[in-house]
Amino acid sequence: MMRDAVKVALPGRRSSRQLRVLEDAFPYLLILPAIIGILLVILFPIVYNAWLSFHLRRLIIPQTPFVGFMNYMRVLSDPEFWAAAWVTSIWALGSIGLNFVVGLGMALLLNLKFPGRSVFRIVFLIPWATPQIVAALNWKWLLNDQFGLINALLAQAGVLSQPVAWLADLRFALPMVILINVWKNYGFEMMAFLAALQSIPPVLYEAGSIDGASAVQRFRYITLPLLRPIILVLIILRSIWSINSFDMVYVLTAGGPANATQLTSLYIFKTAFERGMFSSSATASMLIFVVVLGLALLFMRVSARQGATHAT
Amino acid sequence: MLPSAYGFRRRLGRLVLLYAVLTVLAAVVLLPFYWMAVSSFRQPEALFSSKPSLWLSKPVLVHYAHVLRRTPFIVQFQNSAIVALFTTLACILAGSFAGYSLSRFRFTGKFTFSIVIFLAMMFPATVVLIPMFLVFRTLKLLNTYAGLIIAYATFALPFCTWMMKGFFDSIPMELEEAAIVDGCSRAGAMFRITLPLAAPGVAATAMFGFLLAWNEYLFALTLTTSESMRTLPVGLTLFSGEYYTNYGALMAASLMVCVPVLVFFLYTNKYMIQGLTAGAVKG
Repeated sequence: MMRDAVKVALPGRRSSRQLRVLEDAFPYLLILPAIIGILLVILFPIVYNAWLSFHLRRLIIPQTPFVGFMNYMRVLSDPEFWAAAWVTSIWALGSIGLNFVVGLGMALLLNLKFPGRSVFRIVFLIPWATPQIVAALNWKWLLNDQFGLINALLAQAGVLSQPVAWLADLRFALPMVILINVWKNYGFEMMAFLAALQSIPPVLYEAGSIDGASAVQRFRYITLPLLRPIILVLIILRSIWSINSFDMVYVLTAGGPANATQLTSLYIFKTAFERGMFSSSATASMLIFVVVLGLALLFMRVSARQGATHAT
Repeated sequence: MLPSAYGFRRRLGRLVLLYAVLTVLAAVVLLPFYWMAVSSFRQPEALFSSKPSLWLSKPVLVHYAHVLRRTPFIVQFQNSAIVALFTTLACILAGSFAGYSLSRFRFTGKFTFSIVIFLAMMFPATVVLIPMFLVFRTLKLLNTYAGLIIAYATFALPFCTWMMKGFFDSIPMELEEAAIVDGCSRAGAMFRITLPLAAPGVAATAMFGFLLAWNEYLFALTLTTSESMRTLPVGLTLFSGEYYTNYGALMAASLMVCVPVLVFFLYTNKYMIQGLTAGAVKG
């Protein structure tokens, strides 16, 4: 991953001292706008957020006294926070597992050779390219309890005797938002698996067939081991993205019914913007941040190791 | 092995089975889009029925007329377009410069910069949300295009930089060296030789920045409060009233939000996929 570029030699050019300085500064000049932006808009807020978590800040009161770990005590003793953490765990595990299975299945299917393959590849990527909010509103309409298509189809098929309010029912709301999330996102896993599958040399499968390996055995002993690096990367990325996601669930259920789908991201948002408790919200987001940071560092180590083995 | 009639039939049978499976899957995957289109053209009376017909009998345009005439859709479309356009521009410029720098040079601090950019790709948006809201309020950036553009461009940048670095890495250094030997300046070599060759990367970066700005919801919701500054994703969610949602109009508006994105995607998906797999997956 962090393969150092070969230093560009600059031969055959008269270089005065000034020019030399300018050329030394060139890489910094190029990276400057991006770094300034990231420092100001991402890193500074994170630091500010950390500061907030140790102070008391309310929407209308100007004073922000230092309160030590009080905010942390408050958040960690809030059952709603733990409930949200639990919901987020299920949401993340469900999303990781299903995206993985669906993505890999679709990739294996689309890796077969058949006419029209490229058309199907694009078709199956369409949900992934759709705006989150459009997808969420669309599904909300499909799952509408009175006029939705899903209930009508299920009733027609004789599966349902009476309409179900999928997104307002304690039993179905969380599984449903997970399924919708998978519908929206499996395309990424599919794409990544396809790219990985295509880089496996066909010779390996031929050798396997000659040695008498069945299709299942070839998958188990050739495909799967070779996909291992990408599997690891996808699992870590998907867990980070699941923890970070907000839009889909907020639009579908706003955390309801009775907080059954309230992710930590929704908890953080509501604590700040509905209850005006900025410090508690900042504290909760610091806790989540630590988890994500851990996953991100893990991701970095994993992909650095792969970079070392795959590079050149 | 000689191809026998039996083998041919078997292969044909398999192909038919495969197409059947793919068609069923495609139908499931595309059902929401079909239903969105059908609902947006359906007569209002037929829309709210407990036994909706799967087929569209008499298409009408009332929902589109309603969205365009009676809702702030056009203003929101304008807002989204302006914000997305400038975000894209900023991503292309800053992203390709930074990506080039990381790909081509060895300099002090490079490792730190790489880590910062890499981690910035992963942080949860909610961590930045509150501080950004408070800072933007102080700086009077709430309810401005500038505020949204700054936020979006910065969020897209880490990924764009990463993606561009991947594209630059795949372009041989020798081309630039040759140009420099021939008397081209260092910056000239970058602008005239490498940047044009990285055009697919620029396309992928542009698409990523555009989509992020066009689709983003959480920050648009938080950083804009006035009706006239709303972007499309927020606007769409405002169709839902407390007791009643005009789903016909909502689906018409959703379709109009969705179509530019999908058309754009159909044309650039090759670069986008290349960029995503190079940037995110190979690391």
